[in-house]
Amino acid sequence: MNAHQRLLDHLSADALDEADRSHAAGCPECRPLLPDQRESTAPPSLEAIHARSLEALRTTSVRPWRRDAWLLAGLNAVVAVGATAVLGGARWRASTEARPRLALVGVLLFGTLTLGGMAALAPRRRHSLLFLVLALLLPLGLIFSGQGLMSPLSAMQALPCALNIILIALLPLAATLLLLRRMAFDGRRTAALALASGATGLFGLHWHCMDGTALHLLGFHALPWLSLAAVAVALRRLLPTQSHVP
Amino acid sequence: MERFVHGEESAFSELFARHAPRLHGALRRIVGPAAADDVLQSTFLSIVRARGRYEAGAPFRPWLYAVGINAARDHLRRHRHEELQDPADLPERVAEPEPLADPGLSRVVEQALAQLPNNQREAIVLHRFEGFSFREIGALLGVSETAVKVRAHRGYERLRVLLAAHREAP
Repeated sequence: MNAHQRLLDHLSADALDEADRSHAAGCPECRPLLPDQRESTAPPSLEAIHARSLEALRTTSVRPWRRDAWLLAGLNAVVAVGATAVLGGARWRASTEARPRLALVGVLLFGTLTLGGMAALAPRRRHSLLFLVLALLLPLGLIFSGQGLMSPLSAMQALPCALNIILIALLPLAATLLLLRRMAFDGRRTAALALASGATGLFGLHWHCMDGTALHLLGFHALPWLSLAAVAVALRRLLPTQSHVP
Repeated sequence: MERFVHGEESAFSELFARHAPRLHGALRRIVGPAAADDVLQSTFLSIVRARGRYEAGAPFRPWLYAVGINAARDHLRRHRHEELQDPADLPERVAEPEPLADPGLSRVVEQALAQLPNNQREAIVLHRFEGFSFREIGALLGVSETAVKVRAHRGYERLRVLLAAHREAP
């Protein structure tokens, strides 16, 4: 009877002795058969990682991504409506003829800043890509909404528009960056989410700004909005990542 | 996976036992043996903390590997950044490729893999060693299937050159 056979016989008879244990310690085939040796077959590093992961599982609760998306959509909506209330609706009151266009683009902007964030936060990357493509068409909508409202401002007079867009979007963008730290860096997703949050500034100005020229709307509304997204991507790249999930 | 998402420890342990050793091997080939433990730990802590981003019904293994690849990329990016923080640390000239000295075949292949650009190494490790199709790799890396094929093709070409050089070495 060889040492393997002897160990198997003793194991089935629950009669393991020192000779069996010393054979199992040096035999890769027999070692896993011993109950007290089974645990040690995994590399020690894996055991430690398993233990730390279990500890994390005990101390963290599940956080569905949809809840974060709704929270961000809610924050964006509150900021956008609040900014509109503070800035006032001079543009809306100025022309009755332009109201249908203003209302249509206003709805698009509101959809961007609420549903856009949800699409960008979805785990599937194709949703953020689709939203990004649609969002980049938004400047055309701004130009469309400006038709019939021509009160050209000088560059100095127009500068507050750009500043307002940036200031209004600061809080939603900060929240966006905090959320993005909880997932792996993805430039496309970051840009999409920053465009959604940056649209809060566009929305506030949409009802207020009297300059409907294409040059003003592109240079002092759309350009600061796009620049915010570029800055957000650069900032996100610098921030440490808390979780690497897509 | 559904049970793990709801915090069931036995379900997590089952997933860990099934996937961790193999993922560890893949990460070893991507980031090197010294960093594989850290990256594996980041991977599993990530899926535990952000399990709310898992989509019900989606296959677990490609998702886990996507997280692992993201963790590996983050590690490599931070590591490179740390290495280059002090300008005095910069080498005066680019080092020659390391000779493939170890006689063990798997060790030789690992050393050759380490000399590939990161995106080519990822494509080869996932395709050759982990058995993912090019389509699956594209989905988990977030690039097109064609892009993965190009990376893998270039990687295999370079690998052939490196292994041929090893064979010809005295």
